[in-house]
Amino acid sequence: MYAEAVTIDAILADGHRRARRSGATAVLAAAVILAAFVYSDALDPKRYRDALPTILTLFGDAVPPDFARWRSWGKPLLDTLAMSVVGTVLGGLTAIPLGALAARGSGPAWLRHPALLLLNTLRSIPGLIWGVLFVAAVGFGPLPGIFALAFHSTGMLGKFYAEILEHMDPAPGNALRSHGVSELGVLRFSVWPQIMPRLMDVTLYRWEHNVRAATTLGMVGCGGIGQEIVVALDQFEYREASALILVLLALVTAIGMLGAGLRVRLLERISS
Amino acid sequence: MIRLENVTVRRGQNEVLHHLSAEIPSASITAVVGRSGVGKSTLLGVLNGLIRPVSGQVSVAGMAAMTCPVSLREYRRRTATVFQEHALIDRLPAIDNVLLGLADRRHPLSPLPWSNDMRSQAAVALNEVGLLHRATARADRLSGGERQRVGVARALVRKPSLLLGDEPFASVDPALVGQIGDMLREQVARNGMTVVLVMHQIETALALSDKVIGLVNGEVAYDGPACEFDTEAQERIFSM
Ligand SMILES: Nc1ncnc2c1ncn2[C@@H]1O[C@H](COP(=O)(O)OP(=O)(O)O)[C@@H](O)[C@H]1O
Ligand SMILES: [Mg+2]
Repeated sequence: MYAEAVTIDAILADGHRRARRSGATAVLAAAVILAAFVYSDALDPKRYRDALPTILTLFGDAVPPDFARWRSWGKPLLDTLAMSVVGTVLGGLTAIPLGALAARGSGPAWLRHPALLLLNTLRSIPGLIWGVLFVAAVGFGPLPGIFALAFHSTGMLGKFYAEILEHMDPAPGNALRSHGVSELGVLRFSVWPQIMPRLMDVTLYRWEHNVRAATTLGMVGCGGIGQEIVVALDQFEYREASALILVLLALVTAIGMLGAGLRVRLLERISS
Repeated sequence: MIRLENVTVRRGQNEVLHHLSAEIPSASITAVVGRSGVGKSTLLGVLNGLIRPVSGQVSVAGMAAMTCPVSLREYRRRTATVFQEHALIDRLPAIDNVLLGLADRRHPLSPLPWSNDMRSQAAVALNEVGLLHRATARADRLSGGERQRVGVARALVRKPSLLLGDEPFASVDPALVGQIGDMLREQVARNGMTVVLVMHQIETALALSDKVIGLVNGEVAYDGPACEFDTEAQERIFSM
């Protein structure tokens, strides 16, 4: 009896302790967020005085959008699209082995931290900086863009792939092992069917992201629609720039819908 | 016959089986009984090679030592296990989960789908556990009892010479338990299949098995014919 009472006291005390701790965490988080707002002048009304008129002027200069040169936009659009596809595929292919090494329990333990560090480095360096680096290395055009997307995507996808692998259920694989199936067989018959839909899901999602990223890469010399926009802005052709931005918006939306549709189908097909 | 000699197993910090010795006769049904946590699942893990004892050995009549990878693989190919937690792939349909029981008969790199012959074998196995009508349902849409029967079908499709079942009937209807039990009995008589079933329901265990191994805290507390398992033995094994 006595032992039981002590246990319950301990359980209640533990509950209180955890409630106090999460309360303190919430207060601390709120303080940090507020400090960030103040520090960045985001709460300073003086900074906003001239903003509205400027924005209105810019907007006035940019309407109506000017689609006159639409014929010459096909190639840059295609460049951007191709850049995003190739960059995603290369990034995904590199991310598979790196993600496997970075996942707990699927590679040699001593390689896990180096792999994580490499992935972390790849994705900590912003895509634009990768773009500048590769433009310097291989010259202008979509090629440096492809490498920039691939490097950054490897860092991102490798992390996701590793998490997918870690969340995989090992039990079916063990069942196969107990039936004399080789490790390659476990990979094929248990690991692959479990992770494949999720792998495709995050990769398609990354592709959608890369279409947008490919556009910004155009601004540092990687060609494509982004470069067209920069050129139009540089020449104060705001109406052409706004037309290009609308085209880009349509492209990104269309790809987003296509990607979302594919992902839903992918997750459902396996299910039926 | 499978012989366990002085088998000691550690899991994490704890020693779970202590110098356990027992024999499992061929072409018969052995029930492993005992309270929760005494090491029944661990014993099955030793028998299918997923758990390696720290000492002692497992030997199979007519086979080289289990420590030899070739004979371990050969032994495993003749073995089928029904897992307590089912060990199904949630997003695959029931029939595909049953087909996984035949994975050792396919080349891992073969791009071909499962053959029609394998598919029909899987369908037959699903029918044997009364689940043919759920063949195309995703495993995670099945009830606990249905999942368990998929696990049983995945083992049966292998036509194993050693069938290991970890509480395979825990949430299966009694009528169906009787039916599957009859089928197992028939395979034992006809094909000489050896069966080891972990069961916590002692009545089912006694009705189905020839021999009973009762465990208490990782040690054998009863080892004898099912017909001699009396209330005294029951008290020894199941009392608190
Ligand atoms: N993976 C594990 N790590 C550490 N201890 C475990 C593990 N699995 C089981 N155990 C412990 O081993 C003992 C026997 O477990 P188990 O064989 O599953 O028992 P049973 O099947 O008879 O209920 C239990 O005390 C359990 O807590
Ligand atoms: Mg168990």
